[in-house]
Amino acid sequence: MEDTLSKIKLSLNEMFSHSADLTIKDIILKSNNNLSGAVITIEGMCSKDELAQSVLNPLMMYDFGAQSSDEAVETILSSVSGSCDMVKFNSTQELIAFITSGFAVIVLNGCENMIAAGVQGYSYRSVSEPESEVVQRGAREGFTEPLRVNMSLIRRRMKNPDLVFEQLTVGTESKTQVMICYLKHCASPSLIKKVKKRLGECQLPTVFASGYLSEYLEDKSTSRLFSGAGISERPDTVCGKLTEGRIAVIIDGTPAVIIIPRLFVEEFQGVDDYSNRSYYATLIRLIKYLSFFFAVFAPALYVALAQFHPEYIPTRILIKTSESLAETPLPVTFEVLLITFVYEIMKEAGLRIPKSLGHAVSIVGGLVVGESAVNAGIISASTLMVVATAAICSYVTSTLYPPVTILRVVLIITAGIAGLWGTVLATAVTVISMCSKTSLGVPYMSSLSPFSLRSMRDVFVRASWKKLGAHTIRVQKFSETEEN
Amino acid sequence: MQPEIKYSSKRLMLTLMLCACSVILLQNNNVSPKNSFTVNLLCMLGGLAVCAVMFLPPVILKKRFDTDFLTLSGKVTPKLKIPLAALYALYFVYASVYFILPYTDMFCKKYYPGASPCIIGLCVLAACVYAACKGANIITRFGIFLFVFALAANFLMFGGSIGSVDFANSSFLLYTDFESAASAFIYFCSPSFIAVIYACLAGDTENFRLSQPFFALLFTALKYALVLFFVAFSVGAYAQRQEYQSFILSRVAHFDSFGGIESFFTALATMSVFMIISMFLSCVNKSTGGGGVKNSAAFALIIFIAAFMAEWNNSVKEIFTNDVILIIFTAVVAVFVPLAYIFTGRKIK
Amino acid sequence: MKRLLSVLLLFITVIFSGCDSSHKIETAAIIENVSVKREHGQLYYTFYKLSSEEKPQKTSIPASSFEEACKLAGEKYIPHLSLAKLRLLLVHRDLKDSVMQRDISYISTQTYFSPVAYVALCDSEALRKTGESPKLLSTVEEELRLCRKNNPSVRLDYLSIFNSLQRDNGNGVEIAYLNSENELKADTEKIFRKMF
Repeated sequence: MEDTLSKIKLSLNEMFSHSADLTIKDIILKSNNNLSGAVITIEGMCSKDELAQSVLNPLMMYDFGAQSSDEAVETILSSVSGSCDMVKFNSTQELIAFITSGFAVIVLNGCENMIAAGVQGYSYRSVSEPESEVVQRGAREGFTEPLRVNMSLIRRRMKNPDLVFEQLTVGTESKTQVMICYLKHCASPSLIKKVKKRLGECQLPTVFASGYLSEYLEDKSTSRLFSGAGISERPDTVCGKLTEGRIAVIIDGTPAVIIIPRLFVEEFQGVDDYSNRSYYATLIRLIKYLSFFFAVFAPALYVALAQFHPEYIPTRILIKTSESLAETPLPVTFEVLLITFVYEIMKEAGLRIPKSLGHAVSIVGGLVVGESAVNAGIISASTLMVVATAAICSYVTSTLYPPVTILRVVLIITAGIAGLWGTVLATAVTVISMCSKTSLGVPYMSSLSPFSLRSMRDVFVRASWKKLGAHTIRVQKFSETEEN
Repeated sequence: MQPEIKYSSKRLMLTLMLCACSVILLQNNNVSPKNSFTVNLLCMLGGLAVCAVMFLPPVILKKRFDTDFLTLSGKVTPKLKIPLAALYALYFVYASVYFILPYTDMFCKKYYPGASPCIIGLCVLAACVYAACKGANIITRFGIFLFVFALAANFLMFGGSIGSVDFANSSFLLYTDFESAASAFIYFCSPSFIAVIYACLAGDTENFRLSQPFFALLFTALKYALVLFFVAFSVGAYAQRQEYQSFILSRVAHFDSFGGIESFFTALATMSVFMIISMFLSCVNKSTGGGGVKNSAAFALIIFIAAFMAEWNNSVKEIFTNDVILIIFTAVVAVFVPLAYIFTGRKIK
Repeated sequence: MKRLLSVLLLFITVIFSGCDSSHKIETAAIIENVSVKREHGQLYYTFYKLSSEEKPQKTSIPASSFEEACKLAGEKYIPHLSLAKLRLLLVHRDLKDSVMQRDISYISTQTYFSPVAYVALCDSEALRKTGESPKLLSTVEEELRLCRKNNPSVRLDYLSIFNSLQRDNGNGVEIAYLNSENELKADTEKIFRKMF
């Protein structure tokens, strides 16, 4: 009999360089011809109890009689296996993939085939409410790190055979499992093909977060200011998007699921909009649009008015503003830029600092930098108020925070140089850039431009569920590059 | 550069309508005070009727061959490709200068006294190059946002002027002299440049209906009529004392103590001129067969040099701002040349 | 890199665009009221600056016309002069035919004046009173509005006065008149077109 077991052990030890967590447990089965083998695992990746109960105990107890090793493999698959899943395979590559994913692999001496037993049992964070997408009314479940758990969270909500999960591996070093998820009858085949192609083109050594892949999924040579790939940690959001023909990309090891294509109007749609009454949801929606507008334009308009067109400011406000600005040493453009940057610094510090020190930063930021600077006459109260309000407004649509911040700074500079005219020209260029952006061939500004009257029931307003439910608008409808 | 894809004809027509509407934003004594409101209205209707006639050849080409003039000519007479491209490129350069000159002039005289017209023009052209590189489809998408902004700006301009309307300021009677009426009529023919844009881009659109150009011209007429009405009855003789009467209309507009509507007006004029020149550059790209930054930038540079020369030399300026030259040139490129292809096209078909 | 360079180049170009920020909020001398009177045969144009102070900040400029007064004010007396926020032009009633009509005619040719600012006639005492307290300005405005409400034929702003004078058919134009004897209540006064 060929000593296949020793060869596998040798090659594994070589490949893993005798790594301490590689566990190879030799076993001798109850049989007439002394069948021997081994159970290979990676320590900490599988459940010891599950391994004992579902694999080792039944294996050791079963009497294989006069079976050869090949016959024994078939017997294990058909009769010995306990509650866990068992898969037969025969390559070393698959062996590595299985053990690094938490499977226990049974190898019998003299047999080419091996068996992977699903006894994964590594510790992971339990399913909990995602902090970045808190809702008032709705499910409290959010994605977690293991891929399979996330898949189950989606499957539990979509009891539909059309729901497809397709597995890919990305990352030349990390070999991260990525799952493409879509509804067969909703998603466009060309979009699915594009996603697979783009993920296949990814040659990153490691993929540890959704941000690694989202750039690969976005269309090339379009504006990168806004993201064409959405992120969600909520299974209900992902399921909703799947019914609109979108594709979800779940990455092992991260709770953030990528949803593509992403449209601009989606940034203003929240989960709560669909749980609240439609009139209230509409009000919130309009507030979100206004906040976005205010977050981007308010500081720039303030600079333009103060610097070039004070006559447009209402008289009472003009008197107060001019007097407070006259007392400060810096020109208004620099003042606004300074406060914007100080705010960004404080925000970053607040995010990174240990929670116990968070209050200290708030006090320093609020009292020292804010109030004291105004009292000392370094910055004016009106400037502080405008910048602070714009900063708060930018959190109303938190997913748009990065582009809003960049746009705000650019517009402040253009307003400081060329007033309202500069702001208008910069806005025109930005709108052109946004209009030219596509996400998997679907125009990013779809619903608004190209305009779709039917979509309007879920853009600036949220129509009642009777109207929304009557007809689902698929995202590929907006694509100009393929048949609708 | 977007791939060659078909986009909605409705959207292109909306953009062309905005382009046509913006002509009156830059109006500077083109409509003589010697004309009564009714005469101006009749001249405007006559001018837009000419625009409708200029629309006919490209519409026939679109209906019959589902293509635009440039594509058809490239297929039918490949030998004439270079002369035709040169002719159209020349037209678009001329038309761009025709629009950029009154814009920079209005901007520097009325909005930012002291600003340098050449540099203002250069900045607008730089933005236009960026937009033209994205293609006409993207510019028409921008047109939807501009349409919404134009609605808001017009609402503010007209709504804020209602309070100042005084029917004694002007008259509904018919009085004019030949020169003034002819000048107004020629001026109102100038929006026919949109027919040339349509002749160049119609092939890239789908779902064309005959009603689309009709409604585009109808709304343009409505906008012109409203501007003429408010300039005549709301601003009255005050408008004739100053240049750029539409701008003055926006200055006069106010809601109680809230004024400053001229900022909205200037923003609308800026974005309209930006859109028109971007469309022109897109058409130039199409006629010359290039679509990259280099092609657009080269033509923008030519436009800038022409505008600079016009600022420098008054006689050059007169050539570039002459309504008659524009109309004749438009008639050549929108009517006569395409008509030749319509007749030869019949044989080809 | 190319993109960055072109953006930088564009910014530098815009900086040199000549967009004038001399009227920026902290330095601009924003005028909200101008009064005209004649003293010892000389016309005086008084410019009242927009301010929150109790005592009005005013500058009297001797000039033969509003055009000259504006020019002198900008060059000599009030640096960074801004007349875009001018709300009221108070003219002594004796100057209604000669000075007021000429000044309105001048204003109608200039873009930077708001065409909807008020014009009112007044007597010497009313001029003195309004010059003493800037807060009286809002009272005056309220009075003028009330006057217009009660008598729609009264013209209040440059635009309506100028346009009415342009088409004067001999009946004259009624404009507001602030009477100090009547606690600054607005009456009406008729003016007739004067050709210049």
